[in-house]
Amino acid sequence: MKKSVSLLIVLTFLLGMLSGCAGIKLQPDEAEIKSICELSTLECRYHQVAESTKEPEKGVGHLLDQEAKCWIEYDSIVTMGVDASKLSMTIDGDTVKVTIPKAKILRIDVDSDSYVNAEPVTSKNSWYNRNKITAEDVSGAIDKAKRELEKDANNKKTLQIAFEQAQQIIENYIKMIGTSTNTEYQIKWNVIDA
Amino acid sequence: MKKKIIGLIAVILVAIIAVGAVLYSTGKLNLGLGGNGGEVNTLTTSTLEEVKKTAKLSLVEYNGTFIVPAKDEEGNLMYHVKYTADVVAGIDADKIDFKIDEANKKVTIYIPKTKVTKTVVNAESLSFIFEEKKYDNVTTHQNALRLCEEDFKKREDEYTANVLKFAEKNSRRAVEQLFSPWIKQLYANEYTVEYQEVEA
Repeated sequence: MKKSVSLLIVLTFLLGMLSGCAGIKLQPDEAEIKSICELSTLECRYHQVAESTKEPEKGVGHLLDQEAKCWIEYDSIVTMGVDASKLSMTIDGDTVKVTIPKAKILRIDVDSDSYVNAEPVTSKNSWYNRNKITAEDVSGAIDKAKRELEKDANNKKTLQIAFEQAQQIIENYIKMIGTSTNTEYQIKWNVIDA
Repeated sequence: MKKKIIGLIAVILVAIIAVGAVLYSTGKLNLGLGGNGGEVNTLTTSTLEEVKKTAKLSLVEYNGTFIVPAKDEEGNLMYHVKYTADVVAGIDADKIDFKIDEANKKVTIYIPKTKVTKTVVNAESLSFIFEEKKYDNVTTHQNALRLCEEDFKKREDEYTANVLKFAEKNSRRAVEQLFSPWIKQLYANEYTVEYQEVEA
């Protein structure tokens, strides 16, 4: 009786090892797909112009004031891609269901050296105009530009390219794991918001 | 006697399962577990070609916004004009090439150099800060566009060199992700993968 129990334990252990091997080596792996997403990002360097437009204040004391404009060039690096933490995968027979978020901006790094050294361009000042661009307006312009860049890049086809590229690489990975093991996987995409 | 027979059967079973486990883990035994086959095909250049054929690596548009001052013939500042210019860069996936060195178990993937395919100044992007209102007239836009195109020609080399640094990184990352994950998973114990950039 004792020997039968020992044998059952050994068998269970070995079968466990077998199924473990199958999960790691011969099937699409969710951790690998997440890693693909993390590594398939697009990095773009943008040379942009931050803008500040300052309307004149209202009131008798500001009748002669004019609209003041300021432009300043700066560089930023925008990283776009798919948020791997929102990605998941399930396998049911030959069907692989991948839940993937749309691509989004993962990071914006403004190169502060680029605007520290840039010469701001401002509208001409006149002695009667008290509506002038201040240092605070310039820093506000950079901040606003960063937000606009995010909004702008969100509408750009670059984000679509980042998404399609991640999708294509995942599809290729699943297909190649299947081809190499004579399995034709059907991929079902579930695209969710970023 | 009965005990001995049971013991013998147990040893044989354990031996069979152990051998099976080794064969399965090396991909040489197909048990049909988890809906996939167990045998891993040999890595050949035609397998790699298959990936290349389906690869649709998009060209990426990298845009920039620039400011240029406009002066009259006497050197007086008339206005500053702001414009955007697009640089499109990427690689030609058709030119990706491979070599499998069976003796050293090494796969080399040759990535063509990233190239700039298009640069363009966007005429509709122009906006101005005028020094005097008198400089804002019907010919301003045309003159300014010419000025922007000349300005971008001067900046083009430096700007495209900067763009290329990022485009190269993006292209290489995409190619590596097309090949490395499945090669690593299926052939990690057999092959090492190396990427080399070559002239397109």
